[in-house]
Amino acid sequence: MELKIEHLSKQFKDKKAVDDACITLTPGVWGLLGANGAGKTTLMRMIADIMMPTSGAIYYDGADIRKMGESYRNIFGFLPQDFGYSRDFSVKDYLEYVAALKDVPARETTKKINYLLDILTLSDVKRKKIAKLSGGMKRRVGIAQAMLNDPKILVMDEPTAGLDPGERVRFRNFISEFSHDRIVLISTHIVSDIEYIATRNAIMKAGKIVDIGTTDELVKEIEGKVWTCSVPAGDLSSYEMRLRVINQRGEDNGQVSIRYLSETPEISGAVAVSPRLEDLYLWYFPQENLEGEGK
Amino acid sequence: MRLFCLEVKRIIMSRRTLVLIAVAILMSVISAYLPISFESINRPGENGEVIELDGLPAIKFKRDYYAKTAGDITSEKLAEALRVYQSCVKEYGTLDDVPLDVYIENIMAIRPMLKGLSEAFADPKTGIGAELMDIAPDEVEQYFYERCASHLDHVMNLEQKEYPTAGQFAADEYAKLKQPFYLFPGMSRDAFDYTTLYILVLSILCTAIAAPIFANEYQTGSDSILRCTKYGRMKLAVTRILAASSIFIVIFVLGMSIHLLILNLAFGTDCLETSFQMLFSVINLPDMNLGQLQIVLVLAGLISVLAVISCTFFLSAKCKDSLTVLLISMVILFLPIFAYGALGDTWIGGILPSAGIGMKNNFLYQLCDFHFLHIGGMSFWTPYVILISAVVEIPVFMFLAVRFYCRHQVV
Repeated sequence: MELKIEHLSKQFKDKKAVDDACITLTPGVWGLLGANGAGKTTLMRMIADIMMPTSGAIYYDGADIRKMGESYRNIFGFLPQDFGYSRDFSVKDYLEYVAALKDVPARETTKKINYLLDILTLSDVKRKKIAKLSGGMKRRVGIAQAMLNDPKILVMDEPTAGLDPGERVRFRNFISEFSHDRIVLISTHIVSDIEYIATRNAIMKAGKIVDIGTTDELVKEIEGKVWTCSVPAGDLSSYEMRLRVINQRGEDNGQVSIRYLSETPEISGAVAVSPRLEDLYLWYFPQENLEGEGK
Repeated sequence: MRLFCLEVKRIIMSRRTLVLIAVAILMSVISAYLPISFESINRPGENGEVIELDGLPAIKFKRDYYAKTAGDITSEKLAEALRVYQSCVKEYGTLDDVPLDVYIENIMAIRPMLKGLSEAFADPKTGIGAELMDIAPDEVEQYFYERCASHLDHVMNLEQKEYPTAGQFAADEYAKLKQPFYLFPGMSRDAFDYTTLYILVLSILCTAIAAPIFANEYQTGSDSILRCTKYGRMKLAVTRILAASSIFIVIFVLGMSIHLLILNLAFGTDCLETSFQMLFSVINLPDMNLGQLQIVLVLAGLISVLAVISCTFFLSAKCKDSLTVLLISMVILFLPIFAYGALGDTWIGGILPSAGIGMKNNFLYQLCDFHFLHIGGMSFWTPYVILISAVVEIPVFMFLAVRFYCRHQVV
């Protein structure tokens, strides 16, 4: 099973949101990393066949998804960045409605819904109006609807936005289990959410896919470029001006331990450390401040 | 079927829909109550005092009173009624001088019959109705129905002089009418006006329910999820349109049933046997009685409402937010009213989905009138134009709604 994206481009009036993207997605969890405006959402919408590409095509096992129509949508699950719903729907009514649209047999629907609500810890609120749920709960309802038809291809745009750390861990574990023999594509700013579960990652920048590989393969590219050392707390601001400091931690002795990206050590006594996926992300996108990480 | 039921449930369970349905039911009662409350009559009491009756007591009094004179309006019966009227008025000078008890005993029963005489014997040049005192009863006895037909010719000559085909159509239609006319007085014209007004209210309410059908999903972003599902394109669009249309048909039928049930219980079903011409104008073309008129108004109203909501579906599939759809739909709904007021009968006013809904332009008034639209030498009576346009527009707009929904791109 493969989903082949061939020379896909999307031109808006004055901006090329996706620029000649080529990638072949195979079973497993794929992390799609990129800064705001990199083109991730546009790419996902084209994969979901709700946005027409300006050029290029997407093939599922050799068949053009636009021509597959209903048969493609039958094996597809999608959670968009903004989870929209009718205000009058309760969680149960909404999932029943989507299940009918996904052609989940009526006799299996209740069982399937209960299973997903249980996994996503939503059972207690299944009769509540979605509009009255918290942001995290709404997001989980969105995740549940995407998985109702046991999709072979699951695309989720920022699925962990609004989830608390515990929910994110449960989500990661669930997705890891679910991804067996399926293609799961997840875009997120929260790099740690996919760092440990992504089979492979794709990095998008200015509409282009600039890098593809496993987490290990990708982080190798910045091996020897991630450094750590202790500096006096009073000098921190001057270091921040000169270097790409990605983390800092106060120490008891008036020193601050910093982690930074650089081709060379720059500071005497700096020690090279093993790079992580978020280091790579910041290498590519230096303007990002890892807000989502809560660091 | 499962999707259809869920779609019906989705629309019905919306608070907005529930409120609008409640308003529709409430308005059906109010619009039936108002013409009943307008009924009024003065009658002499046992001691000679004047007793004023309003509402249902007035209607009951009239029904009992008119039951004695109901029947076919033959020329002989009309002539006899005119003789009674003229002798009574001559005795007291003018109609206003006739005492109430004498009026009720001798004239009130025959007044509804005599109403058409002024029209039938109108001045052929000006169309101004004749005074009842100036009409010869013998002439009525011999020529009443012939005078009706010739008055129609005069009217058509005045109004459609340049279009002989229109005059010919009117003459042909009039020749088909069942004569003599039948009259069971008592049904109020106001009741029919309020029926057409209620159809306008229902159109507004149904448009308000239909406006967000697709546009709301675009607006909230839920469309992105739904159109990714197996049945999220054409099947969803078709099901959604069918579900919404079914709801509108039920609302319409329920609302109209309540409205007409109240009216008919109040005014009595006997009145419904009355010929169209005896309540409106003796030269009107529709070959039907008032009961049939109610059915025609309901069917024509339903067709017009479906045409209006089909147009709203199309706009909802095309536009990106519900408010825009609602505003444009309302403009289209009210456009024939303004177009009629400003321009009179025009093709634009006639072929719009809402052409049969409104105030002076509504379907009832078109049935009562002699408005024609012309192409070259051909003339088309506006009620036919309105109905045929609406019937054609329903599938066209629904097809366009499905097509635009399927082609919609998320941005």
